[in-house]
Amino acid sequence: MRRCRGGLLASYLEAVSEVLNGLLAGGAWRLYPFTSLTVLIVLVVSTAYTDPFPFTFISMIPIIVALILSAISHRLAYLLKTIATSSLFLTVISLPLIFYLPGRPLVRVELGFVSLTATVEGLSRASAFFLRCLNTISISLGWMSLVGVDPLIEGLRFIDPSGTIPLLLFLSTRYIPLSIRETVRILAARESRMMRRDRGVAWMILSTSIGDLLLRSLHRAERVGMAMRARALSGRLPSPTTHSALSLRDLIVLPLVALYIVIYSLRWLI
Amino acid sequence: MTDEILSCSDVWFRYPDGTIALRGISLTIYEGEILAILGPNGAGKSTLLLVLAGLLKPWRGFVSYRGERLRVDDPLIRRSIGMVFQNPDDQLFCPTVFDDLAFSLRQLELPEDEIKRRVEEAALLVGVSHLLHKPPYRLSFGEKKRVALASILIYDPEILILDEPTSSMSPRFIFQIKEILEERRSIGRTHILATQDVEFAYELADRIVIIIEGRLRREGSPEIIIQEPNLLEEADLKIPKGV
Repeated sequence: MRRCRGGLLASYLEAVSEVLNGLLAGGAWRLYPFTSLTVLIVLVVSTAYTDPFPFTFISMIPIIVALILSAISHRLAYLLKTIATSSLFLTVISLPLIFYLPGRPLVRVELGFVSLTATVEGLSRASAFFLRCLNTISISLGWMSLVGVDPLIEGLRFIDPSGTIPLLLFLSTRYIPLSIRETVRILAARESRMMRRDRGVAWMILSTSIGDLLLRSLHRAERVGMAMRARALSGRLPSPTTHSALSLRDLIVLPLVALYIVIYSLRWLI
Repeated sequence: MTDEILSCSDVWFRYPDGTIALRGISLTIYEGEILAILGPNGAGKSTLLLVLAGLLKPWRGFVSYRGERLRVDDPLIRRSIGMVFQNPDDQLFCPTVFDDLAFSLRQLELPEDEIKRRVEEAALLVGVSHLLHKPPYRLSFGEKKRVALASILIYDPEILILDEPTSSMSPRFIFQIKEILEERRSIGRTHILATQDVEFAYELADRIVIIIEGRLRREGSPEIIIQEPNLLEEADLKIPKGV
């Protein structure tokens, strides 16, 4: 997929596809699938259920740990891109909280006939929500970049021995980047035939691309499905990774995760 | 080249939109031969290949592998019949070239060292060793075609099916494919290829079949087929120079 003409949407989609693909390319550390998945769950749950406020250095630990993990696996750029994009979305989501919660008034905003009052409590809650979400996203992405996505999917076999959920996830992780790239191609093909550039035409391109995208994605999924079946030499649909055994690394990881929980979630050492 | 390895008998195939792509095709493929399927665009060549590979189920008729009816998703069939798709974007779906090449070997649960060795060998064979850690979508069309071919050669299937292997490819790669196929033929492997490149088929194939509008129009040796300019013209094919 060469970088094609196109606006912010195409660039955004390309970046999403790039990040997904980077994560799928495998991590720097090969751990036993069950360990990989369990640690991910523990990290996500402990971070999501920990209030980062009052704001101190400790509040930033998940992001710092994530930066270190992604740096080890040479995927720092992916993490930074994701943090930037997530911050944008989280700002939009958490913004209403500032005005929604009652409390000490901070600033009054007049929007035509609507009058909104930002409160200190609202701002505090919105910031806490923002940071908690960003911490959780960062730590999960940091861990994924360290161990790779496939071992996590493989780890689900311990929960679902039938293998249906891991298989669905495996296929999704392959299809999503393909669909995104297909979208970018569709957009580029349409834009290349745009005779004039204005917002109306841009919206028309976007709206008419959706149906086309669905049909083309289905067609592509069918072809890719055939290619997968053609190479599924074991006769069943694929398992994402080779089977690995428990190793010393798995044992090293466990105390490190415990230390993270002690410092960040329980704040015992502070 | 006498043992029958794959055959189809009165095969019909209809797509969900009602298009009938194959109309009663019967064909036998012999062990160790290179069979070229020629025909114009939309003649049903790719559909026939997918049916022969056991990836599409015929609406009527059946396909046999070594005298037994071909069962879809049978592990034995998957290991015996490899298919290189016309569009490499359909075939490459893993995050890196290495993973794509290793995909089928991982299904066999081979040790990682063995997988690595075979991936490197296959990559060297088609000249993509320097691309192993790149994502496939970042490659050029020609590079993708090479990787797609290597992803099948890596498990050395008994029957190799190639859909338009030479389209948009450089003369150097076409020469390389010829060498690879001839090498495989010398050890008794079977090949079926669909192409519009008459010169390629003429130089390489033991037998040519011509399909027009889903029907088998002609079957014979390249020397015989090439002597029928009207048929080639009807099939939208170009007679190679110097023949």
